Amino acid sequence: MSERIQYENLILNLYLFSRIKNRGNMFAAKLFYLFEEDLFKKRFIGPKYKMIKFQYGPYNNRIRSDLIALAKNNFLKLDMVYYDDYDLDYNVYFKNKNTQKFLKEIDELIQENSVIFNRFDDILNEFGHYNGKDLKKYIYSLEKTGKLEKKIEEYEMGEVILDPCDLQEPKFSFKLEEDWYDTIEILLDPKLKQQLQNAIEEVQHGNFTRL
Amino acid sequence: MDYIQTTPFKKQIRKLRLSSELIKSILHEFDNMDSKQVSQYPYYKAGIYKMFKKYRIGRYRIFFTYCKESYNKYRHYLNCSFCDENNLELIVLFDIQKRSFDYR
Repeated sequence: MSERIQYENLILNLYLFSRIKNRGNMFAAKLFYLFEEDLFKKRFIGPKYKMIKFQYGPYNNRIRSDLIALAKNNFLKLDMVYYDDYDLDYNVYFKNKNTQKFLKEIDELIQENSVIFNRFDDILNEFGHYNGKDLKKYIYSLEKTGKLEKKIEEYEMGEVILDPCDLQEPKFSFKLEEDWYDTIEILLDPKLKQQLQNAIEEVQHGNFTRL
Repeated sequence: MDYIQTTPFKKQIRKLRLSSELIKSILHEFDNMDSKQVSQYPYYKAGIYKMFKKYRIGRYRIFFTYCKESYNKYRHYLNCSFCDENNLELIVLFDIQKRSFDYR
């Protein structure tokens, strides 16, 4: 269990689904992979998902659990969709009013890290119209990809394809400083938010102790 | 400096099971702060939290306001029942929360 929650990844997930609708884990994973690789080459760090070779290419289980957690806390809408091709139900995600509200509230942070978000916009513009399957095909078509600069097929199952944290002395890293970290933690937790709202109401109604 | 504890703040202290030594040390620190020291505590960065200052000790964070700084900007929003423009040298301890280990 990590001491520090990767809120940067959660923010980027919300940013992704504020721009793209009706996509699932596979799409998010492949898009994050392309984004991470692009940033890696520029010596930047954005999302920090360690990408492992899975059945369908680069993947990190954490992406799925992050998306589910965001949906559970009502920052994304989650639907189950049946896909004939795989004869399976898949989670697909959509923005909701909380997605937009959250991103608006952290606009200052996005501006401060515009070098990362601008590049993410470019990636979204280039690949946002693909679906997960198309992105997978695209990644498999690359002659050189990942840390070892070889075809995806040449990586072993379970092998690390790319880990943004391997980058030594990055030119820029999207990392929340402490005051932002603490703010994001509360913004993304409806219970904490409600707790503080209750405290405000209590002082309005005179429920306090003066010392 | 004088300070006020809200009922949710006191409830949270019980809920979080803070040791009496830790509680004493936190309250002692607020008690002994002068206005210059209070002013140095940072604000949260966004949303409604922008009006709260942050005091951190270990994994715990306290949300508080310093009336002298928040009176002009936030008094209409906070609308505290005890608000007194002649006594703004006051700290209000709104809430205490523990940092999470995981996002679920």
